This record gives sequence, structure tokens and C-alpha cells, in this order.
Amino acid sequence: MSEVIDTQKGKYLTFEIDGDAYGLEIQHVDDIIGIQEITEVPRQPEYVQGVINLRGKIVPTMDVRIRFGKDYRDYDDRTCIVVLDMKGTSVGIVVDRVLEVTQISEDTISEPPGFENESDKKFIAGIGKYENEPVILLDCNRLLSQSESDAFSTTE
Amino acid sequence: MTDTPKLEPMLEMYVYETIQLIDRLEQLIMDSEVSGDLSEGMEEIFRIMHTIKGNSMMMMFEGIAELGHVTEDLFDYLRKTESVQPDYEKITDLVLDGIDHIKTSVHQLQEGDDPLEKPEGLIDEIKEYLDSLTFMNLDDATIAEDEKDESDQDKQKYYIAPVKGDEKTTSKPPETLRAYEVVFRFSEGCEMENIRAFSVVHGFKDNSVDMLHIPKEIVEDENAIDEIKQNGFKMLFRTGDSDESVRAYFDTVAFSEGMSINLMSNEDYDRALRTYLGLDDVSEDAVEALEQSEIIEPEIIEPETIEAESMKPDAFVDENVQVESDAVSTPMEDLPSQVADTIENEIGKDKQGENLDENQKIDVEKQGIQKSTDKKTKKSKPEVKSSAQNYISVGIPKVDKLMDLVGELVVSESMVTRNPDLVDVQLENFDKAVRQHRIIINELQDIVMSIRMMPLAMTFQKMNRLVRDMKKKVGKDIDFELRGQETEVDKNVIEQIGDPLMHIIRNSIDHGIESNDLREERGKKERAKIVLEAKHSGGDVWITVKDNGQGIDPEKILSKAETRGLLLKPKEEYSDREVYNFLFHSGFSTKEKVTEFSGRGVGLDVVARNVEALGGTIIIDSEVGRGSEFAIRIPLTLAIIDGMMMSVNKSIFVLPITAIKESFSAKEHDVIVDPEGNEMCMIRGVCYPILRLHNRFEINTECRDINDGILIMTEYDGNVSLLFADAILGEQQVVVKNLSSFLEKVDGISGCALLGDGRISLILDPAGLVNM
Repeated sequence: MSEVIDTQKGKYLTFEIDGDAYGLEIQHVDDIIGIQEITEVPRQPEYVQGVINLRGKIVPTMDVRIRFGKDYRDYDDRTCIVVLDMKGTSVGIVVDRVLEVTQISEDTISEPPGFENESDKKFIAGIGKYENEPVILLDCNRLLSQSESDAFSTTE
Repeated sequence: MTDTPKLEPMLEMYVYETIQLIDRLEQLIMDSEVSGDLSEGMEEIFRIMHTIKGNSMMMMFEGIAELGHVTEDLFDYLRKTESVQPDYEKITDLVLDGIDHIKTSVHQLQEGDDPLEKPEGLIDEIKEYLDSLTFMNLDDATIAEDEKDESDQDKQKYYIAPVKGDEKTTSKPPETLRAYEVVFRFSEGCEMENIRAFSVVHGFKDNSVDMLHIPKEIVEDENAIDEIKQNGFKMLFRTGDSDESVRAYFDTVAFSEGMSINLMSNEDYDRALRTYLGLDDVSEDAVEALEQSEIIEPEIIEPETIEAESMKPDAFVDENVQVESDAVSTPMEDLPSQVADTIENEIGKDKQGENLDENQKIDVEKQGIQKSTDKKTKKSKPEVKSSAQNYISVGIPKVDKLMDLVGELVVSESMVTRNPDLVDVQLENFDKAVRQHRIIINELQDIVMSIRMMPLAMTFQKMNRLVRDMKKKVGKDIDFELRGQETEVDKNVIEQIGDPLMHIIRNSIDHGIESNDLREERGKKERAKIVLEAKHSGGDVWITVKDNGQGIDPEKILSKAETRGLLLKPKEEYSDREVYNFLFHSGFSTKEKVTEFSGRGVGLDVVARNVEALGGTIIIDSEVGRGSEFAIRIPLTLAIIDGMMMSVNKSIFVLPITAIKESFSAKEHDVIVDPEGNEMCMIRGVCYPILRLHNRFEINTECRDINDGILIMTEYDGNVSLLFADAILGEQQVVVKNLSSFLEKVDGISGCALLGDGRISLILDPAGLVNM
């Protein structure tokens, strides 16, 4: 990404899904809120939970667990919604719990290894390392745009 | 000129004014071409050109100024020489070319670029045309060389360069001239009073002799602005022009207020002239008068400048206002007495003036009174002055912000009045207050909405131009009819509807309407015609483009769709309307030949997308050989709707009230089920289909028994459906928000809305529900 703002460069918000640590570039993160009532929107892909009211703004929300093909897990008080902003479109993603904001230097990030399940891999930008623990760095763009292109192709 | 440092606001003003003028001009010229009669719009066209020229000269955009000048000359000639039978089409072409040039230039200025180069070719063309007219008319002109013609020639002779009064005095005997005194002021906050005054003077200089004005130095003297602001701007001149044309000219002065145009006797004028013009040859009393005027002025400036100074911190004050530092020393508290003193002084002075010449005295008195009254009103209530002005221009962002706020106010109103804490509590007085509150908010909302509403006329006029240009190029005779121009729609719609309409009309002209020969061949007697119509219907605005061309052949589209692999079901199962929808696929074109205007297959898909972005839909209807119709439906307001809330399990849906006909609960035995399982209900002898919302939107609900829920009859475009919901929750105004593009579009849901308690409801779209 060329338009990285200096102070945010290399900073990642890490969160946990199913015991694994994931990271997202901090510049795409708008907000972190506790889980709240999600209004269902009919006829959406399974991973789209619905919409939430974020201070008067209506933000669609998806469950990354389902997006990643994992099982649905009941929300608890650690469940958070991370609101991402991609080119002006806000999307919330439901994660098990938010860990912290960390600096992950570029040289520790390695290419994602080949997976058998390609659909898992397509969201991954790389594998970073933080305090000797691997962090799966997600490609925010692909995470969100995938469903958009789906939406376009089925719209009549 | 001193205008270089303050170019920005000036430029903005210039651009704004020019765009307005140009739009009006375009409309006028198009009208006159259609009616084949220039006489009606002539005066106005002339004045517009004149103003544009003046403004452009002031801004030193020579290209536009000169273009304006030659066009002005042309119209000046036309309006004065009635005997000429001009070629309207030629004139319209020339003017439209000029308009295009100015438009492009202004657009570039907006972008921060320099305007276009001087359009030499066009200018020459207009000049040539004018010359040819003059030549044709030479015989008549020499005989009937009346006053008007003479001034016309003067105009050409002296061109743009300002003319010294004396030179002209000789050319015209003073007896044929009438003397005028014109006094006016500029409306408050119009900025750059001095430059404006200069352009007024400059614009009229050519038509007048012995012109003088107060203040004398307009542009060079920095205090001139203040002076004009306080005392207004006064002009004295003699002119050979008719009374009407003088008045007409001053009518066009932008931002002018309290214009008074008075005829003077020549003696009065001479006296005034001597007083103001040269100090060398003035008579005794004239000196006195001059002194007087000079004494009065500084005294008046004093309180005024203080006011300006004190306003500075909170109000926007023109940077050009030069505040005299010594005047500021007067403390604010002394102001009222100061004013009184000044007025007394003035009255005293007026009395002194009694031994002056009778006429002059009256003049001075008038001035004095005017000054003091002006000052009084200014002191007590500065905005009184601007009450005469009917329009203000406000930036769109401000209006948008206001709209957002009103939207939030509506939501927060229901948060208060429908607060869960208040449920089941009887509060008589509170309820009364709430009702009053709601009335006010509704009114506020209506007003804010109406601010944003604009008639479609401007957009339609642009289409007029498009059709005119195109039909010439493609060589088809086409009548173009506009209906319902006055229909008002949201400003957003105005901005975004232009392109789609343009595409559709282009399509109609290029594909729809047959060539003249072909029409004849097919035995179509009626003239080719395109009708652009706008009308209100329910809560929607319909804009339709109808032509009587060859129509769209569904077969052709189907086969094309087939070859492109777009068919999802057997060919036979497609309804005509579905077939036409293929036209909205990107890259879809049945036209073999690509023309300048259309046929590339880009266009209709963009049209569909633009219309969708406005929350509207587009429907094509066509009959082969008879013509086709494109109908665009756009919701009237995009922001706030009256809705009926209904629940299905935990989900809340809102249906626009305008779409609801009635609601009732049905009994089991009212419902008829056909062999395919479709439910229907007979009401007053008519059978309507039942649409279960929980089925439609795949919601799990306990309430599946027709006895338990409620049926809501909704109508769209003549189709009626009965929606089945669990319960009706009540009526509420909701602020419509679009569903994020991240979500998949759902037929039957047009958006979502926040409810008073912060929950989100989905807004049902009757069009999507009924036309499944």
C-alpha cells in the first residue's frame, strides 16, 4: 500500500478468532465496539449478519468466523465488532476478542504458505510474527471486496 | 486595476453570474428559434450579452468580452433595425457557439485554469454576419437614419474604449439629449461595490455624454467602496437613448437596490455638471455646494466606519473595507449622540443652503434626508436594507448539513416522545406539548425539503439544446416537446438526472427515430416527435421520454442476448419488459453501426446505474413501428418519509404511507388458495394476491396463521398486493438511509431507517414487492 500514513505504518490491530491471532492494518480500522444488537437483512450471504447502528450510521456487519468457514459461536461479552473503513465504505466484522495494537516490522512478515483450502488463503496478506507468536495478517481489501463483487454479479 | 489581490471572491462572483446569464440566454435563444420571432427575447438577450461583456471586461477576460461585444452589436443592430428579416437559424447557431465558448471558458476558470483563447474565428463570423446584414439593409438604413441608428453607429465607432464626454457633445446637439440623474446602491454584502459601479459606468458610457458620477474616483480611491456603501452611487449623464432603454439598462445592474432614475432639466444638469466636473470654472455657489458635500461626507463616514469595525470580529467584513484609523477613536457609547449631531448638522447645512439656487437646494436636501434616513435604518437594524432582496445564495453543503440535522431532529423527537419509559403513562400535558412539537418539526422539515426542491426546467432546456444540435447533425426532422417543466424535484435529482436523460434522448434520436426517407417509405405521416415529460404521481416523480420512432424489436434483443449467453431461461418465457431489461446490460448494443452519438453499447447501463443511485427505477415500453417510451421513476424526496411500521418476528419493516391503501385482519375463510399454493383474498369482489413477508424475506416467525396477523393492501403502478405481517406497530416518520453497497441488493427493500429507540428497520419498496 503506497498511501500508508507514516505513524500508522507497520501497526496492526490484532484479534483472536478460534484461538488464532489475526492482524489488520490499523489504517483501515475505524472503530472497535462491543457486540450489540444486529438487525438482520434478508437474503444475504450467510456470513453477513445484518446491520448495526453505529451512532446513527448504519454499518453492515459480517461474522468472520463464518466467512472463514468456521462454525458459528455464540457471542459473549468479549465479542467485539471491528469497524473497518475501505474507500469510504464501512463494514463491521465480528471477532471473538480484540487483542491489542502492535508494531509488526515488515521484515518479519512472510508470504502465506500454500494451503489446501484456497478459500482460506485468499484473505491472507502474509504471516507476521509478534513475540514469537504467528499472526495471520488479513488483506482488508480482499476481505471486503469479495462480497461486493459477488453482490454485483447477482444484481439484476 | 486594484482587483488583483481580491481575485478569488470576484472570480467566484463572476463565474456564478455568468453561468446564470448564459443559462438564461441559451433558453431565450432556443425559444426564439422555435417561435421564429426574436423580438420578444431581443431586449433581454441584448442586456445579457451586455452584462456578460461588462463583467468579462472587468475581469479582463478579453476573449469573452470581445465575443460578448460582437454578439451585443449584432443584437443591438437587430433590435434597432426592425426592417431586417434575419436568418434565425444562423443567429441561433452563432449565439450557441458563443455560449459554448463562454461555458467552456467559465468551466476552465472554475477549475482554476485560464479561460479559452480569444475565439477569433467565431468573432469574425459574427462580425461578418453583422456586416452582411448591414449591407443588405444599407439602403433603408441611410434613409431612416434615426436617433437609434446613430447611437448604434457610435457604438461601433468607439468600440470598447471609453469615450471622453466632450468629444461626443459636439457630435450630438445637446437639445436631443435628455439629462438623467440616477441614484442607487448595492445590496449589502454584494462585495466589490466599486468595481460594480465601475462596470455600470463603463457599460453606459458609450450611450451617454458628459457622464459623471459620485464618488468620482471609483477604482483608484480605496474609500470609494465605503462611500458607495453609505451614500449609494450617483450618476449624472445625458443620453440620446430612449427613456425605456435607459431604464432597461439600469434594471440589469446586478445587486442594485433603491434605484431611482430621474429626468433633469438641462439647466439643472449643467449646473450639477459644473459643480462636480471641473473645479477651475465653477461659480461661487457651486464651490459652496461642493464644500458642503465634502463637509457632510467625512462626518457621515465616522459612525459608519466604527460600525464596520465593531462588526469585524463576528461578521464577515469585506477585506476591502478601509477603516479610517482616526475614526475608530470615537468610543461606541457616544454613537447615538454622534449620529444625532450629524443629522442636526446636516439639517443645519440644508437650511444654510436656502440662499443657494432653488433646484440645487432641493437636490442637497434630498441627499441629506436620504443619507440620514439610510444611516438611521442602518444603525438600528442593518438587515432591514436587505429585506428588499428576495434571493440569497447558500452553499449546498450548508443546506445538506441543515437537512441532516433536521433528519436527526426527527429521529430524536421520536426518541423523546416514544421513550420506553413513557409507555403506559398517562401524561396529558406532555402529550399536548408533544403534539405541538411535532407540528413544528413537520413544518421545519417541509421547509428544508422545499429549499432543496428545484424545477426541472433547466435540465429540460439543456435537452432542448441537445435535440436541436443532434437533429441537425443526423439530418432528421424532429419535433421536441417539453411537458411539466415546472415539476420540482430534489436538487440531487436535478444534478444526476441530466446524464441519463441525455443518453436516452440521444438513443431515441439516433436509434428510435427513423430517417426522413425511411419514415416516408414506411408511410408514417406524422412528424417525428420526442416528448419529454415530468409529472408527479403519488410519492414519485415520473420522467418519461417518448418517441414515435421505429420502436425496439424484442426479437432482435433476444437473439443478441442469446449469442452473448445472457439468457437464463428459455427464450419463450421472457416477457417483453424482461427482454428490454437486457438493454441495460453493459456493452449491449443491437446497432451494427457505431455513430458519433450512440451505438457503442455504453450508455443505457450507465443510465440504469445512475437512476438506481437515485433510488429510482427505469421501465422501457415499446411497440415495433410505433415508438418507444423510457419511464424513469424517482422518489420525490430522498430523505424523510412517512412510514407505517410493521413487525415480522423481531424484524421491523417500514412501508411508505403513500403506498398503503388499507389494512385489515382477515379470517381463515376469506383466503382462497389455488392449486399452486398461492394465497388470495377476495375484497369487495376483487381478488388480490397475498404476499407473506416472512416467506418473502425468509424470517422465522410464530405468526403464520392468517387469523393472527394483519394484511396491508399496497398498490404500486396499478398492481395491488396484500402484505401479510405479524402486526402493525404504528406510524412514524423515518429518515431514509441507503443500505451499504457491501450488502446484496434485495428486491423489495429500498433502504433502512433508524427508529426512535435506535433500532434499525428496513424500508419496503412497494415497486419491488409488487412487481416480483
